[in-house]
Amino acid sequence: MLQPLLDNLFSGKSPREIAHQILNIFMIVTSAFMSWKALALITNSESPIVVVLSESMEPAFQRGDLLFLTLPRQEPFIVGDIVVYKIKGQEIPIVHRILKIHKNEEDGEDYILTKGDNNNIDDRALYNKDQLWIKKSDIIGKVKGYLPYIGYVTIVMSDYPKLKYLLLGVLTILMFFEKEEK
Amino acid sequence: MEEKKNAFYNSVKDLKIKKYSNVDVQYAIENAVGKLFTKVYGYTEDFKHSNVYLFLGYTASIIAGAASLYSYLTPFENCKGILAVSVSLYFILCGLLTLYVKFVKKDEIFNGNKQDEKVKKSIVVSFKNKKYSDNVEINIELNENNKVTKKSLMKSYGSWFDEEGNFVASAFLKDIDAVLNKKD
Repeated sequence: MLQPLLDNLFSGKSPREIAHQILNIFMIVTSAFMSWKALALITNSESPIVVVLSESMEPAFQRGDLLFLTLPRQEPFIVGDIVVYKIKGQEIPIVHRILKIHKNEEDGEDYILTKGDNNNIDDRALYNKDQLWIKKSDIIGKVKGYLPYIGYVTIVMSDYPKLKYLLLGVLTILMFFEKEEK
Repeated sequence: MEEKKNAFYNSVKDLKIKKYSNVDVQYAIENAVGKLFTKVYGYTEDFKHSNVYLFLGYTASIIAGAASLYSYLTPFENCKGILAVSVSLYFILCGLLTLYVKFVKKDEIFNGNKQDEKVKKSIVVSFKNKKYSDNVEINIELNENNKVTKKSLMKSYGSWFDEEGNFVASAFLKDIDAVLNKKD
């Protein structure tokens, strides 16, 4: 099945032309990826843009909001900051507000407790078993800005994974047939 | 000569464009120029621009690929240094690539060389086409034993395609031939 497809895509083309065509696709993919990594380095945050998945921070943030994060090295965390953190062993990051911070005199580390504005209780139930606090190293970034609704695209994609692959497939095929404007 | 012409006609006989597609026209002419100068005039194509492009592009892609693998395997905190180096390298290479295309390759679409008895010839063909214009300026720079002659022609793309969008090789050959034989 693959061979006729390849023949069709690259029919009558020299290896050099094929190399150019493949490179064009590589450049689109890698420039997007490297821009993301550059943004991560600039903001010092592993994942500088996240999408709100739950209603736990309403009315501040709604499902589908796009959040912009930074993690400045010097800036301390204070109670009231909205942060995104990831619990060890869990995949999905959580956006909640800092409720309590207390500094441990022995190791000098901040012990942080968080809570969702729209939740009745703090986040200890979300943390790992026997975990009472999160630490600075668990935090991905502080929320510095947001755009409403745009994140819904990714929510739909993750709810219907088939749609994601379909879109990827269509885009890939389009890239092959699209010629570059000069 | 007739045989060479036929070889050229044969090599572009399936060349067809979608009408109204500017990009399509450019690709078709580029293709035809390459075929014309290699098959009819006997030049060997010099792929120097393409080589530079491929080298810079694939090097950047490999760096990006390695960085993506490394950052996937290593926690963010530990890979910042290497990531910063690879991101900078990547954007420097892409910048070089852009500058190369803009300032070195420019509008050149064909570079070729040939050795005629005692004369060493090289040729550079470039195309200039303003956006939304059907007119194209063809510049041919011929270097014979370091003596450079420049020839140029301004014509509509329409003169080399029929109503169905098929490339008319004989018309193209006639025009280019006339330019080459033009006395200054």
